[in-house]
Amino acid sequence: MSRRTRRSESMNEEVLSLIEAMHENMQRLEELTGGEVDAVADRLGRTFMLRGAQDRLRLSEAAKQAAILNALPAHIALLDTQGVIISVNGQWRQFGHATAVQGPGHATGLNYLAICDRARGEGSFEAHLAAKGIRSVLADDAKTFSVEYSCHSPTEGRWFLMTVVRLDNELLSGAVVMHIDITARKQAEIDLRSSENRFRSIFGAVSEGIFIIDPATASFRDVNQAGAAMFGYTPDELIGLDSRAILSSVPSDTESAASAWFQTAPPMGSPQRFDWHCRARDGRRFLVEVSLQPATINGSLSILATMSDVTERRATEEKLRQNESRLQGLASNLPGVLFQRLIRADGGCSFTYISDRCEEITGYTAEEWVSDRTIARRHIGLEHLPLFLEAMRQLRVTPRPTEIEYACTTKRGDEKWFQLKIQPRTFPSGDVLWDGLIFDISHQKRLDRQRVELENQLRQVQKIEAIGTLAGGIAHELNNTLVPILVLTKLALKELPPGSPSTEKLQTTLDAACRARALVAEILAFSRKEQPRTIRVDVAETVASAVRLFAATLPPNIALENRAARQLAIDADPNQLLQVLMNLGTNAAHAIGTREGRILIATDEAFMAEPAGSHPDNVVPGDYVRILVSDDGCGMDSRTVERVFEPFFTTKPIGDGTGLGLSVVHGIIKNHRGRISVQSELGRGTTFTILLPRSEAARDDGAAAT
Amino acid sequence: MARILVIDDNQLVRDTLKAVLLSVGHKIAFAADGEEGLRAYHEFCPAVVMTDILMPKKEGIETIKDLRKISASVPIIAMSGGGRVGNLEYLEMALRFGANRTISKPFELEEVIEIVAGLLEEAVLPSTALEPGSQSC
Repeated sequence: MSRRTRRSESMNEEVLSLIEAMHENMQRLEELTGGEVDAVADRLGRTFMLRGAQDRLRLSEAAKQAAILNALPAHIALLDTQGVIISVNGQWRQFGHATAVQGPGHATGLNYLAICDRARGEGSFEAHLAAKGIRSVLADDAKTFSVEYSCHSPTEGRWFLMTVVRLDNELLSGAVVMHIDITARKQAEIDLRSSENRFRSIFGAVSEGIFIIDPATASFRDVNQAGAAMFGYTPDELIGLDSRAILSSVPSDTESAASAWFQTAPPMGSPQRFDWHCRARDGRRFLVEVSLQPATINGSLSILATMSDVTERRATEEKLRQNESRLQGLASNLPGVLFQRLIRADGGCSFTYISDRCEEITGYTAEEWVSDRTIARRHIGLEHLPLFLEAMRQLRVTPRPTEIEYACTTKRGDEKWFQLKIQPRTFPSGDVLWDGLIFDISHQKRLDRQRVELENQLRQVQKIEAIGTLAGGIAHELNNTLVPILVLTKLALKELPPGSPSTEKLQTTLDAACRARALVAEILAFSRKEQPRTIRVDVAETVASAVRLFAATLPPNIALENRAARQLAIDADPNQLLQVLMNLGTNAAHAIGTREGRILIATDEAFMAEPAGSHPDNVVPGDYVRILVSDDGCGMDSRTVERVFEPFFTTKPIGDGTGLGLSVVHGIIKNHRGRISVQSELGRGTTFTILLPRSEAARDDGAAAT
Repeated sequence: MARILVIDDNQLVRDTLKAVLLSVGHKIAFAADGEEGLRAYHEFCPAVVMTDILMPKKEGIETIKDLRKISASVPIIAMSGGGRVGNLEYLEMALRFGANRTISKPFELEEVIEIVAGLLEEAVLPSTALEPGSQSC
């Protein structure tokens, strides 16, 4: 700004002399005050600044103001009313970057408006806008005008704010144009916006529902797309709404329960997680997993609720739980042990699963099976162990379904039978998984054994019947055939002259024929299923008869003892009873042989109670007469004892005895509804015990037993 | 010395009885079944009849019944091949239907001789008089 000084010729002399006088006064004052005083005052208090100070003041004010202007972080230019740049500040001067808006450097004298009008290309829009704005301010249409614009350098983005204000005072008329670098602010704005966008994107994009709730009013401060959609709303519909209206939509969840969210959530540190039943706008029920936590958002405390629809997941979980429970129940309930054994490709093996019933069934716990490798060997019966081990070895070599039965001893010492089934599965890795099952088949085995025994007995009976039928058939013919042999041989013997050499031969023939007759008779007796002709028989009497008969035939080395109790009666066929005693006695005598020996026949009464299990030899409970025929002969081994009542079974040499005797005895006793059993010890002796039902007729009738 | 009629389907039995009865001087006639036996009875007029029970065509019990229709008094011995132990029912029935004695096969030589002799002795007593030719035998 150039200072206008006015110097004119027409200035009158008075003025000129006053000015000169002023200068001289000033100088004089300066001299008088020594140049150390800025201002003086007269007696009326009127101050007067000395020239030096005035100058200095003027200078310093101007300098200060210039300094201020130059220091400001703004490019300032003063335009006149035409738009010409009158003055610029230091910053304007220094900004060397030629821009359309600003114009080249510090070009005072240039018309700023023209520069803006001329702007083309990048930033031209803003330049024209700026020109328009300046004009409107200059024209007094607007007090001020502002526009933001970008002006990027090759290396960085820059933003500016241009402001125009009217300047109208006694000195100047025009406008002040100011460009301020607002890059930092703008960058912050951009960063904030992009951060805001990022947040918005996430908020909108997540599949979980996010709800930001005001703890004081329980209203939704914000809801994301997913959250609103869960309930069938849009975010806008929910924002501002009391959240309890939405959350307590399931009748069972009361409003107070929903309110409880807001009481408990804020104090918590870590998120509180729970399931919550919801109802959507359309009535659909669903289950969400809620995570609640307090959060400070935009400076205020909110409740942040994240919700995931877990309806399906919970349903699946429930199904899995039920399935697990079912399988567990099955495994625990099935009468067997379920297990899995993994045989790895490298050869290592281990149990991966053993069901609960392991201990109950095998006696060993699952832990013992896993930890103790010797259990199998101890548990499995010796006779089955080699088979078992071989089967396992083969299974390792060639995995295929395997089934083994084995006897074993449980930990408690019980004998059991088990059935082991293994189904192997081979995996691509080379590992093999054995799915296995162990069943306790002891009961089954017992039943099998019983069945086999019964079958044997049945076979026995059938054999006997067959023999009987056969015997009955041929006996008749044999008897006819024996007639000539017996009779005519005797006749021939009679006709022979005494001393004839043929006598002995014929006698032998006769003996043979007699033997044959006896044989046929025995066979017939055996085959007959006659009901005995029973009468009331005093057992002691029959025993006495038997003893008498024996006395005649027993060799002297055998003693016979009779300990038959008196007054014991049975309903029996006396002949058959005698036959029984004779048979048993004969056997006893044979057992003793030529040594010293003793046969005892004893009788007493016995009461038979209800038997424990069922057995073909069981008798009806009641009063019985017991008859014992005992000897101290050679006895029998257990195998013989087992077979002693078998038809045709005999330990006697061939030709000596038919082997039918005891089976006939057995049949007779059976027919009398009794039971016969035998105990024997090899080398010690044998005892046959017969039980026969006691006669119902007056037992204490002593007179009847004569 | 008497006439004995033997009715039995078994050749061996017939041959045996022939030898036995001849040895004590009796005269024998044979039949192989009941029908033959009845015919033989009419022709032979025996003093004693021995008959088996189980026979084809006409069995023993029937034969005995029919014989008794002809003669109430002729001694009849019923034989059975059931052995010493059995066919008791048959023999009992035979007695009920009129047989005088029973004998079980295989019998002893002496048994046969004695049983026949015994019956013949009884026959000579007045109550059981047997006059050859007096019956329509």
